[in-house]
Amino acid sequence: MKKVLVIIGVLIVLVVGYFSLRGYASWQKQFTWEEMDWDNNGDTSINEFFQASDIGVREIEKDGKTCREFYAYKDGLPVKVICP
Amino acid sequence: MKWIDPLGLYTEVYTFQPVGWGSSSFGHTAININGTVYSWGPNGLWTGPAAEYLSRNDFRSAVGAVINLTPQQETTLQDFINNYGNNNEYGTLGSNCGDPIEEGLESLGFDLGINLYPVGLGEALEDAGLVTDYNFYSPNPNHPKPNWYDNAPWAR
Repeated sequence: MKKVLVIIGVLIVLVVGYFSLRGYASWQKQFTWEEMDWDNNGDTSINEFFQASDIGVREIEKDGKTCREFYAYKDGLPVKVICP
Repeated sequence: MKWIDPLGLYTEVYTFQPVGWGSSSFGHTAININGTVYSWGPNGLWTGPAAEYLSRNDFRSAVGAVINLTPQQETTLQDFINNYGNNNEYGTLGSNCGDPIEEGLESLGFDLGINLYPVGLGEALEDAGLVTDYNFYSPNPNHPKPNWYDNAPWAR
């Protein structure tokens, strides 16, 4: 029984540690809550907040404007573009 | 500009460095067949010029394994990958970025075993005797260096 509790405890620590560090990485991106609406449905979910840890941002030129392109770390492809 | 081959015989499998905390923390793989990159990801199959794809991924390093295929094998592999999205949906375990390439090469008779991660697929290509050369792509130095918390401990 004690062994099971230790295993459960270790798993809890790993899961909490993972989401704490991932959440910190997302927060450090300094994206606004609106920017993190990756599916553009008008609402930013907690899942989308965590996804921010796997998203980068770069400046691109579009229609003569300097825009911010958010891209997925997975494949480098654009997730969304925000122009002024 | 090594991927432009006047004979139209060039196939290179890219293994991209793992970054981040989610599925990207296990890396990514894509294939360049005669200058066109095929990349299977959460949004389906992306195809486009190799130069553009490498530019979009210059925030991290990559290794390109040049593999030796006949023109007939290239065409068969290209068709297999192009049609892969018709029968599959992307999944981290079941149908991830390496599966179209792996299954396509296996359909040509190459035994690559089971590979869960892009690095594993890269090693399997070497083990199968397919690799004739390697290219190394460094990250663009203009990108800021990652902080300690930017990447999961296993994404190194």
